[in-house]
Amino acid sequence: MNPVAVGFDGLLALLILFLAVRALTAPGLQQPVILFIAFGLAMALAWARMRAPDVALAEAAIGTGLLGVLLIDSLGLFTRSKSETPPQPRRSRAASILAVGTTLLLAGGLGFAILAMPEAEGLAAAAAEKLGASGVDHPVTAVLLNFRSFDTWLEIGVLLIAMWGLFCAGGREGFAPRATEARPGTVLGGTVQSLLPLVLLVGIYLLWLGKVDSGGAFQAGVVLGAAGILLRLGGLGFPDWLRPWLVRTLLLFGFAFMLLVGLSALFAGAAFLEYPPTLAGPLILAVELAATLSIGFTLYCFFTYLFDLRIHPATASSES
Amino acid sequence: MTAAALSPLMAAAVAVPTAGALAAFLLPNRWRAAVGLGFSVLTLLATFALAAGVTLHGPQDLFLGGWAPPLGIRLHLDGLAAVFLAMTALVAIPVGIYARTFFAAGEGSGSTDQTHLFWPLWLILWAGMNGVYLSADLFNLYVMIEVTGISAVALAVLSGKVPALTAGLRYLLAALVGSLSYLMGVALMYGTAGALDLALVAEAMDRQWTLRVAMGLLLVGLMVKTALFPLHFWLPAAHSAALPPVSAILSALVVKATFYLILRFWVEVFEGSVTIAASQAMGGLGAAAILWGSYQALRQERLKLIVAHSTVGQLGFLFLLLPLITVDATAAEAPWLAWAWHGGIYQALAHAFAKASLFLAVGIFVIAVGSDDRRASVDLVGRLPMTTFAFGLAGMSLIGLPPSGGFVAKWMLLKATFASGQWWWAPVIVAGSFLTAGYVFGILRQAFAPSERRQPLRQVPKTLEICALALAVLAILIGFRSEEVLTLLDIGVPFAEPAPPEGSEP
Repeated sequence: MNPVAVGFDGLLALLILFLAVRALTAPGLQQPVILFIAFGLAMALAWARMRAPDVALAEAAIGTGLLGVLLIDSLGLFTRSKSETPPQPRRSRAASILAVGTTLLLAGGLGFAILAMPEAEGLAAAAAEKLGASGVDHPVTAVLLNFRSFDTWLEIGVLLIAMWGLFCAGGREGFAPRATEARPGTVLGGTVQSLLPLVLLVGIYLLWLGKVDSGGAFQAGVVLGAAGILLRLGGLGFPDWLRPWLVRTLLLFGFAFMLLVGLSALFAGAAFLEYPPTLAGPLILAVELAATLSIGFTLYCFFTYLFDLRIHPATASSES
Repeated sequence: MTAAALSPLMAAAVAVPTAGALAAFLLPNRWRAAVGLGFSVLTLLATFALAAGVTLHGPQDLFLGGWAPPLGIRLHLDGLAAVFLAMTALVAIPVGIYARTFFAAGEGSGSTDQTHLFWPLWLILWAGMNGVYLSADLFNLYVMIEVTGISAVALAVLSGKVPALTAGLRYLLAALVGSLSYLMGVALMYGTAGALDLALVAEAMDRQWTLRVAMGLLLVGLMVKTALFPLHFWLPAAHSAALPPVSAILSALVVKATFYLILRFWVEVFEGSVTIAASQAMGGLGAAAILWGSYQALRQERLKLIVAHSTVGQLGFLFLLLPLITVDATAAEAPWLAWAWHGGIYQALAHAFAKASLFLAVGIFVIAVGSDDRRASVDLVGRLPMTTFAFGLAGMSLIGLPPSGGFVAKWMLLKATFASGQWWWAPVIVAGSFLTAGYVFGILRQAFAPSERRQPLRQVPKTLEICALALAVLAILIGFRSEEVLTLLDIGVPFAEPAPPEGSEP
């Protein structure tokens, strides 16, 4: 084994532990959030080292990028409230000891379980064998969008449910009327203008790449969502033509489209979500396109909803 | 109906409520209740057709996407799944009608409009629960649990009020910890067994250490979500702060979905790997839940908290099933196995109807009286006779008085405890019933007490009262029709009994 690789992995493992502990113990809310983002990046590196590039991409894009933006966005809601200082989380000694004890027990148990684990085949061979009939050339995409498309369909649904949950917690279904804001300075505006085409290109490339290599709807969706977030930060909210019904349609489009594909298989006498072998490739691409659009838009809406809540707080949520 | 028609129907049990959720969300607010109820009826029809189909043709498998395991995901329909599907649909219709009237009357919303999200969220929650009942794939079950859990949390905070949000955040954190624990268990199982399909994992199970850790993680995750003592800390606040139709759904159905999984894993996957000591420990937690939950319910001053704590106690009875069906090889043919199995599942059914009815009834009391305080609900029997009657009937089933569904459940469990020689569960069952009688009669006494200074009641729509009564009547009726239910329950699951059980005659 390469000593440089071992040294790097060891350092990475220590860094992950250090960042995790610091994120939990740092004072206030801002520092832990920043540390948590750094922790996510280190995790993405670890996934890449474990030769799971699909997971690494997802961790970097969703777990770190988007989640970081949302956390910072939420921090803004705290600082805007009356006290101006974010609330300090209370820590009791007993709870800390309990948490540390449980963590050590869990880590020990997991480590033991993994060391005692026998070598199992897994399903990689089975997936590779059927890859030819799946309509795509990348095994991960074949699993996600053909062999186990039922899971992926519901996971896209979970994103939509989370949006509904945010509507409930925020005390308003849908989005605030257009905010009147100061236009951003030339630096921010110029950056957004020059970055945007590039971001869109990367998104489309990631989507297309999913057919043959690591990439696909979730990663591409996050990049599209990031483009929307940049626009919002640049002072550009929902355009006027984006009526509420259109917003709702975009939010559920990916989930609904896949449901329609699944149901049409039923009417053709096949199993739910079964693709005809000749059409599998194009159908998967269509499903991925729809999913990318909805995932990107939903993630953008998460951000915008929180961002707008700062400017137009919902009134009902404050009464008890 | 042919056996081939059952495959699309199994997919429909998930796809139809999902389609309903999407249609409801897409449409303007004023259409949502009608669309939601329409799709509820369609789902009810699909689940009843499945129950009829499994009776005629026996257990069925469906390979989603046309891919057979180990690569693909399998849905499996048997008697146990059919009973839970039907239970969910039977609770769903009255609760749905109640919700439509409740929200149309402007209750629980104030100036906010997000309460219209009830329909999309409730239908997708229903789809998730149906998926939990049908799926036979460890990872797909994780996704189903997520769909169920996240929509349940969103429903719990539907009012957008601060107490609901605080309790909902706790609920969310508990649910996430549960999911994470479950997911770690799945990862270890996949690593060891090399498959995700339940039947294939069951074949690979032996007393191997990795699988023991995996089993523990899986069970703890599901126990958090089922709110088994002492992991119930999130339940009373979350269930009592939600709006009445939501409380009914959460308490009657959502916690049962994860219990169903514990049961299915216990008898189909872990069978042969679970030790008698482990089953006694689970039973012990159940017994502690019965005593602690029921005692806490006795001490509460607010109606909704009484009913919510009662859920903690009543869920405990379900877990008494596990020690009674985990026996060594010498007792593999023992008659009490079927009694315990039937009793435990009857408890889930009876509690679902009774608890839904109780939460709906308490919701009516709160509208009428204007307060959730126990002492405010005085002298109601003459003024809200139908709801008081519903409360009494549902309470009867909860206590286990004949001829209710709760009686059949507790009677069969008691019989099994004595026949198996595990007599130590019997005092717990009896004590649990007495404590339950304590808090049910505590509320009923108030309702019957004449009062000099009685305040005028607010008008309550008759529909609300009818829905609460319908559920209470169901909780009693299943006590009379137990044979049909038990015949359905015995299809394709262990512990079936050829002759009708003796305990079914009330």
